[in-house]
Amino acid sequence: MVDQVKYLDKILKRFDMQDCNPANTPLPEKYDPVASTGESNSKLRSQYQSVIGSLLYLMLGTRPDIAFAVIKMSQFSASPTEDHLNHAKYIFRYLRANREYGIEFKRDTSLRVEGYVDADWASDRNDWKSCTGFTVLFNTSPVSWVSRKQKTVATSVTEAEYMAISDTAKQICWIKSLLEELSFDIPPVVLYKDNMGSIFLAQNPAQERRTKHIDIRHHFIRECVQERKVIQLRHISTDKQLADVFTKALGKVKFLGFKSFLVTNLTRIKSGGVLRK
Amino acid sequence: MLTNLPPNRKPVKCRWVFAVKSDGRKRARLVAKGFSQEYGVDYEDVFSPVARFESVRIILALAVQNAWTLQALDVKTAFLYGNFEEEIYMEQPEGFVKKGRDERKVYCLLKALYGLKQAALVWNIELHKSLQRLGFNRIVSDAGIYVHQGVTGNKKVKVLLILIIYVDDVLFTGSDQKYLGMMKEKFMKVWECRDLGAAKEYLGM
Repeated sequence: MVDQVKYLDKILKRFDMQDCNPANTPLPEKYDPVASTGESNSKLRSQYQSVIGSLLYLMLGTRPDIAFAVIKMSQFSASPTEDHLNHAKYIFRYLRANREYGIEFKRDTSLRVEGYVDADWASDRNDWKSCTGFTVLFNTSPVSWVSRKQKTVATSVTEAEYMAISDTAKQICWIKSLLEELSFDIPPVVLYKDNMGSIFLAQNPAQERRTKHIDIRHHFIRECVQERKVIQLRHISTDKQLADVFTKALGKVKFLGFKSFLVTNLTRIKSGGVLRK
Repeated sequence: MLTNLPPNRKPVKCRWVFAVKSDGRKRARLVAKGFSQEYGVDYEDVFSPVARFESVRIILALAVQNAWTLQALDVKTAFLYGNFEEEIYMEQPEGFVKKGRDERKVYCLLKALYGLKQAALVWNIELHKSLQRLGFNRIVSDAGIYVHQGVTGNKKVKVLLILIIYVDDVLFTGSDQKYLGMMKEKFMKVWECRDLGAAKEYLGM
């Protein structure tokens, strides 16, 4: 079990959020922040950046459940507004209500590695770029997670999804080479995707008029799927798409469903004598 | 080494830092003011590799899956072991200047100090050399991870050891507890360490 409860308590205290109102989700549902046009004052900016920095450290360590919220808010670090700061602090309200969470690593008859990947097309209203989200699980526990704005504008849902798969493929290739260097070999990683078009595109070398503009680097995924057999794409229904939580601010019901797959409550397993990091 | 400052050079500044540790021990440490170093003169490369969080989690997941033991160490005063390529001059620390004797002289540093820009890098270089001598190989996928493959017992059973390095925090894990203990002893002979035993905490997690 790994957790950063001590660190979380420290930052809640530092930003005077120990007694804030609890929240059920890291951001209000469908919260869609607007970038500020003006310069923000330097005091606000430095406070904002230290809030985001602390949240990032926590998120990268043991809290994939706040990944989307932290990354979204971090995009305004250059010129934040009061509204941005209040929403960054909203994440603390969620954390205060969900303090004792961490990642529990589990044992199984054999090591199972699988991934989930999703994209939210043109979700950023400031520049119409899409968002990539993915996670890789070892025996159902997350070891790697990403929520990231795509670098180029996708002209269709399929294209955004395809670029997200390609991002994930790179990470899975890295994990595979790490494992090989540690003398472990794994079968092809099953990667779950809820978009048939992008799966088709990744599995077939056909070049269509509507997809020929997609940057060549994204076709890396075809090599991973067809030749090297590192990844096996499989369809999953949207309501079971775990990576959804890394691409948008979900409502309470959906969020809580996915959260339980990512982080584990410490108090529930403390008595079990499990390994603690 | 006390010496005269060469012309056209500015000495790096330094100061004392005092701390009371959580167990009541007191510490006085001389630190260099890295911000007074001049790029290209006092330092060049400063980047020092650390293990990626993802690798740490992957190795922990492997440790749980294979029921490996985890042993943690931290290297005492790690940054003081580093050596430089550059010649670095530092002013004399407060309280060490003798009136009327060598007042205007500066120190030419032979070993690294906390606070210097390249302190983490030069420490990592020394650590890397020592790990190579102990038979550990740095992996390509992550410069903060080392592996050692050895054999143990009469039957020559293969054993795998994995080492995670995060600056001066070290985590040992592997399939054979006895062998791991032996390699840990060897490591602790090279570096003075605080033995944290079976890992309860690593990187504050």
